Amino acid sequence: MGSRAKTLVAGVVLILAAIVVAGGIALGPGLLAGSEPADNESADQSQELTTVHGVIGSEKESLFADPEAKEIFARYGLDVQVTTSGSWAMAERAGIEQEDFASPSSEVAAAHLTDVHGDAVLSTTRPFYSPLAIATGSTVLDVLAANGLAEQRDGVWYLDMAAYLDAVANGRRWTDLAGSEAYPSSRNVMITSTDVRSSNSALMYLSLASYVLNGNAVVTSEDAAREQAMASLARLFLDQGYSQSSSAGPWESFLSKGPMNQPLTLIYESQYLEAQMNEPTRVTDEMRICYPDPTIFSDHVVVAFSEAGQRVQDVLDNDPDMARVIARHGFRVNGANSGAFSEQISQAGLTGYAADGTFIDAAQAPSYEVADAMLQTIEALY
Amino acid sequence: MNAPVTRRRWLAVLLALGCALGGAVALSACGGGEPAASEPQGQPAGEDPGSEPAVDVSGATLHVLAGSEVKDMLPILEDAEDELGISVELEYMGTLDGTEAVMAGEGDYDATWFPSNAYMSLFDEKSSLVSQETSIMRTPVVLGVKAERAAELGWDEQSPTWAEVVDAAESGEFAYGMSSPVSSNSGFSTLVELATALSGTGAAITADDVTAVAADLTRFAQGQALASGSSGWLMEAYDKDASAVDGVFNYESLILQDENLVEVIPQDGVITADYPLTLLAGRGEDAGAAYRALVDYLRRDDVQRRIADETFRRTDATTADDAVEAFEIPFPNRLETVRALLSSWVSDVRKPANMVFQIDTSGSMEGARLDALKAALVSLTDTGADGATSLLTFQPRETVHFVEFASEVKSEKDLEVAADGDLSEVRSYVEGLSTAGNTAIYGTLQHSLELAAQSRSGDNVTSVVLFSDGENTDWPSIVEFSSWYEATPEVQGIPVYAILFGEASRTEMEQLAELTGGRVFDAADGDLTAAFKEIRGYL
Repeated sequence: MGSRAKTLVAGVVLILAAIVVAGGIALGPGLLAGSEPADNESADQSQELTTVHGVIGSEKESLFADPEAKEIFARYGLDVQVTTSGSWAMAERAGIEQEDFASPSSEVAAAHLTDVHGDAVLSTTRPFYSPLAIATGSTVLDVLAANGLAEQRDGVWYLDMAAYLDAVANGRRWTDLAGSEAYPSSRNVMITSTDVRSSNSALMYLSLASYVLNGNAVVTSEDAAREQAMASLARLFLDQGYSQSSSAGPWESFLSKGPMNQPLTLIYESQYLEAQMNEPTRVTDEMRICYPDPTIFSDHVVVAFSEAGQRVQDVLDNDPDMARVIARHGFRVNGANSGAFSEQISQAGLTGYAADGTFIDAAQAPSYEVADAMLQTIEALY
Repeated sequence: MNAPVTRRRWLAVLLALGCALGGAVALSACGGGEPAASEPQGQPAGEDPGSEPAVDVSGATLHVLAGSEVKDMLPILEDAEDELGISVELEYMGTLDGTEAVMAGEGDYDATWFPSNAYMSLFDEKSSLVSQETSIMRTPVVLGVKAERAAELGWDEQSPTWAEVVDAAESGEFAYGMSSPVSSNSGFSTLVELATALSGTGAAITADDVTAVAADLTRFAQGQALASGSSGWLMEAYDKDASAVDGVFNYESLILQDENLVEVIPQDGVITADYPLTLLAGRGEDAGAAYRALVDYLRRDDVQRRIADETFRRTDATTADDAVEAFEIPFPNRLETVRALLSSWVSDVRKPANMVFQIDTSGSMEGARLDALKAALVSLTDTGADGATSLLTFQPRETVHFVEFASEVKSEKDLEVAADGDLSEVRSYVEGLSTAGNTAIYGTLQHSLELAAQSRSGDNVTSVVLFSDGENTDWPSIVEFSSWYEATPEVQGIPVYAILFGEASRTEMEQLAELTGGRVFDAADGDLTAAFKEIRGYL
């Protein structure tokens, strides 16, 4: 669907929403209540929307701003207002427990939040998730495949993380690889990520690399974490030079400059999918999505601080229409509506995506304390 | 964009109806007191649903410190102002200077709009001083080569490596123009591209790499034949007289606007400017709302298209297929690396400046004016300054000739800055200046140019800085001066940079700049120190 078409659809949805609301007002609460999915609370919902405030990771901004998502929340009497924040920084954000909910984009960031504000947390849910992925290009993948760094299975590309980390440790350049005439860059083979000091996606990448370098096992001691950070993890970030602070940055650069400019760009799978479904012209024929093998999941956690926050959790967890909107923004849905993701993918005719359940090997993130020890070691080296 | 506008009207009608019928209903569109129908009709809903205009920002003013090349966005910004009802006030400064000013908490700005925040990211203060940043448009710093020269060098068919560019610069095959790395982001990016590629490590450069590549940088500097304090003026100077150079290092967006230049992207790669519009922390809700409204406007589909069409930058409306392919060079992530690189460039590598400062100490300079002049000149000797400012002082290997004048030349002072950079001698000379006499600009300027011509060589960058606070009072006039200039080939090609101050004649100073390939710097508002610092980028 073209972007213009999407605007039109969004417009129609808004008009319909307005008709429903205006009609409900004109005809009185009784009639509108009958059309509500949730039953007993709906009498006052039609009269007044409860404003709910939340803090979310920036990769979910377009989901919460989606007119259809707003309309679905309105059906439950909710007007959800969000501000964005780095997931890791949420725990330290002043007044976070005064919000109705927070939605960081990883389990470890959520754990950090619960650690600091345990008393204020009413409940925690995980309505959807997204694996970490790499935005790249067909030419680049062919060169990597010829050197045993990547392979394609069932139409899906995977980057062998152990082989990749070995290449980084040896300082291999693209021009050192067989067949590099197709991609003759004199730069090191290196994934472009965000700044690990500020961004969740880079923290996930750090967790993944730590797990793989430790023989596919989670590092559990802080001393081991510091040693590993110093010996091998720091290089993954320091050698990149300047990196951007939020995950939208490298992704936008990739979209506008392409895989020749930025051969391996760390993203959330949802970013690639969202662009393919909503801005298809920006994803060129050369571009490909590839999964690190093993990969690691970014769990979108919703931490509720109030009853209203729990109502938001409920809609995100259970409403089938909301599941469809979530999937349209590229996220994989947990729970009863998990089929929404593959429906959206096949409706859009997209290929190259790993189906649910095909991630045999997923890395686990270390504990908050271990992750913090790694981060502090790397920060000291900047 | 008809459909969304129509849709909005419908929506407005429906919502207005809702308001009228349901008096007690608290819909946001009613609560604001302004029905949605009164919004300007030209405001289509954004493609990004996040850009639905939610907050009324009209009347807000956004003070923005910007890089000078953002000037080409003024027509688009004016339309944004009209549509959003906000006022955007731009003030211009070089990226490095401006970044340091903001990081030091100077100035009263709501936002910055430099070509890049890479330099800003090297400061620990950034995380507490910046609230939000959004990239608006992108353009890499590339090489623009005259078409016939590119063909002769074979660079139109096969891009050179940076090492080949250096060889060509050293051998005289490739003479180039480049803006000052200390003043301008494009010159700075060129230097980082070059140093990183030559270091050959495949990763971001470190301070050690800077030492290792110094010899190659010196070879590269041999080819510089045109200097500038800003990327915009570099193109102007090139357009005016392209004879001295074979090409220029500049933004792709500017190279593409000149049909005689071929874009050459060295094989090892380039650095891309991404123009992040950046909200500074603690500027209040109105500024925050105005910032977000402006970002939403600039990122809207139709506006991104317009930016791409009108400024030749890459935006969300262009795809990777539209772009010339280039590898991206990593930007260093430590401040000391960048400072080491810049300091090596100005004090050891680049061709040293050979400057004649012609200084007016006529009677009208008495008092505050003379004090301001002394302060400005002393600022160029401030070896205690830190950051980029310290690189604007006179540097080792540079030569400075002072020509003090009024009715005639009153005093002269020659100085070669020693390796230790000691400038105390300059300071005591400047502090001893005193006023008396008329203002014989052109007679003494002939002398200054002859002096400059005598010390000019292929190994230095020679120029004359003319400072006067009044109109010329004595013979010769600018007419006789011009005839003399046309008839004196040995002084041609030496630019005269004139500072406009006091009662100096703007018309004559502009004529002079035009004649000599120089530039006029406006210090009519009285800030002489800023003007002298700006000029340093050109010397």
